[in-house]
Amino acid sequence: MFSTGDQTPLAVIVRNLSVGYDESLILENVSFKVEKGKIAVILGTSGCGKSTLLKALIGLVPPKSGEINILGEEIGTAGYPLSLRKKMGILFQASGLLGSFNVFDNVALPLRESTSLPETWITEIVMLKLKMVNLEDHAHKMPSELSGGMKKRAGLARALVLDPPLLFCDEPSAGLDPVTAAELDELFLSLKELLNVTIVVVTHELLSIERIADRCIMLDRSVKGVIAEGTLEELKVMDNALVRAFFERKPRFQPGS
Amino acid sequence: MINKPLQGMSSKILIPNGDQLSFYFYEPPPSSLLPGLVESFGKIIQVRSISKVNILIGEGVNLNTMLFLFTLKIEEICRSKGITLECIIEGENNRQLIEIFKLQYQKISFSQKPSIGERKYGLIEKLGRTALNGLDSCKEAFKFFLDQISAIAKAVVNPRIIRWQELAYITEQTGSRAMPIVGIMSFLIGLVTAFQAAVQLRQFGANIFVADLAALGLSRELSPLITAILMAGRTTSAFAAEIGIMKINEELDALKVMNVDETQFLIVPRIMGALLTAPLLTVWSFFTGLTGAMFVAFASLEVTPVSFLTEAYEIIKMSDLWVGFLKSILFGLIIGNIGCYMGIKTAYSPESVGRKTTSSVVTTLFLIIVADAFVTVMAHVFHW
Repeated sequence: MFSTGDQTPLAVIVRNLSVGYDESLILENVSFKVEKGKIAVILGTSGCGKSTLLKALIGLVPPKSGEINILGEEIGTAGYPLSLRKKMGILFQASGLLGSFNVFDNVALPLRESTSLPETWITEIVMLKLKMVNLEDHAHKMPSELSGGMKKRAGLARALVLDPPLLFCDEPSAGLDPVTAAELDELFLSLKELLNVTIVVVTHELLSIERIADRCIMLDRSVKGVIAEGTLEELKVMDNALVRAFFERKPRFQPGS
Repeated sequence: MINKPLQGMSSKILIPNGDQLSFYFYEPPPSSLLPGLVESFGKIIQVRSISKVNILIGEGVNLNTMLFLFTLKIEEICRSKGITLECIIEGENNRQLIEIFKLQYQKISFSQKPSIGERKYGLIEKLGRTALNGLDSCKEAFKFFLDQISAIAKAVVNPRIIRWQELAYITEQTGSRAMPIVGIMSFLIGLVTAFQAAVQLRQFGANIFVADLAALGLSRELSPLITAILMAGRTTSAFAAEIGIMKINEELDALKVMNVDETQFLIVPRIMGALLTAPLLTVWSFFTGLTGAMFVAFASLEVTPVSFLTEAYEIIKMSDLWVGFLKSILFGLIIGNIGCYMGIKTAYSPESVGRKTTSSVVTTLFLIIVADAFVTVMAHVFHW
């Protein structure tokens, strides 16, 4: 659970990646890189394959072809190295809390499964993480008793409980109020600055992107892959109609036309 | 000034030096080591007089929760014993962390443990609460039962409000699709019953009575029961799980908000479907069971199918069929009602769906046996 400072400056490298279900390909020939200690945002309109890309990165969908390198470990079509799973935290869109465990046990689960710490230490680590997301008073509640934002924060505490050097988030601010969403953004920034965590966020919240993104990777359905990559400023001045439409919040087709 | 460990000593973490004690972290320590380290530190300061403790965290080590907790615990022990603690964090990366580290010291104290679990009750109070809860849920279930009866009556009086398409679909699911399994089960049970009887009957030369036994046993008892037990497994559980998951997906809330009567929309078609299919499947079960018995009678008792059927036709009275029919109607009512009731009572968690589905099947089976015994006793008392 300690992250060593190995020297490669890249946390995620994706080369010519193609992902799909059954016969149809959702992503074709996608390539990009994420530097260590930076926040990369994968953005795009609905249905462009953002979530599929994330699923491929965390090993839920095997790639059809191409390579993924995460923290120096190669992931081909062969399979996903288990040791890598301990090095990354994942915040799911619907938080992915186990309904039969309370918040405390949900957050403690990775510690109990992959470390041999005594229960007193587990308690303190879990409470520390819950404090970080302001949920320390709700430790004994079941996920069904939590609001959407609280569930998301509990999911984040669980994703961070092993101090992973790499964090993946699927639409962290979807369904959250602006205040909670802003708090989440600040949390991401402090994780990056203080603990040097690399964060890959899938989102389409413009405000959130502006606040946290070091690098943007924009996908689109039309090319089944990356249409633009760079800093937010670079993307904003790009001459691509699809990129412009995204940042100017323009509809692609007018209703009634 | 802290003495740095010599070359090759970096693997050693805890180093005593006179009346000082130093922890060196020049490489990331395995997390499982730290709790033991705190424990041995607690033991060491009891036997040695220590005036100062140093914690040195090297450049290659990222500060994280475990190291923070470790420092916190050491600090706690030092404070209680009056030992000075010096914490040095090296490295460019970690420089800014020192401030946070110090800040956390003041902010976080673990004096309050998380409150986990619910209130504990005494044995007698627990018993009383369980009994009262049981009584309440019985009352509630009975009220639900009555509500559904009145809803069905309302639908029968005013058939326009029945969702015929849904009813047809449910009748297909619970009825026609259950026919193979009900048929095979009944055939085999008729066969086995006749086999068992054949051994005894042959001794007295009373071979033809296998028809009486099969016809009476199946029509009054076995067919309704086999059908109901299979429907409890297939239909009740399906109803409970379907409605339970609809509830979790907030579909029931959506129906309520759209001003759709969930009873007429979801429950009445299901209960009517079960009510319709239970007697029909019972009839099907009766005939397949009789076929099984006839098969054995022909193969091992030399009773021809014609004489078997003639004997069965003569022995069965209208009242036998009515008792079987009454039972199947009651069972259908129980199957539909319990399934829907448990679905509605599902709480908003996936675990609850499983629990309620199980409980729907168990309750249905129990009530079916109770109702069966009741009708059988009543039939005996009134000479039906």
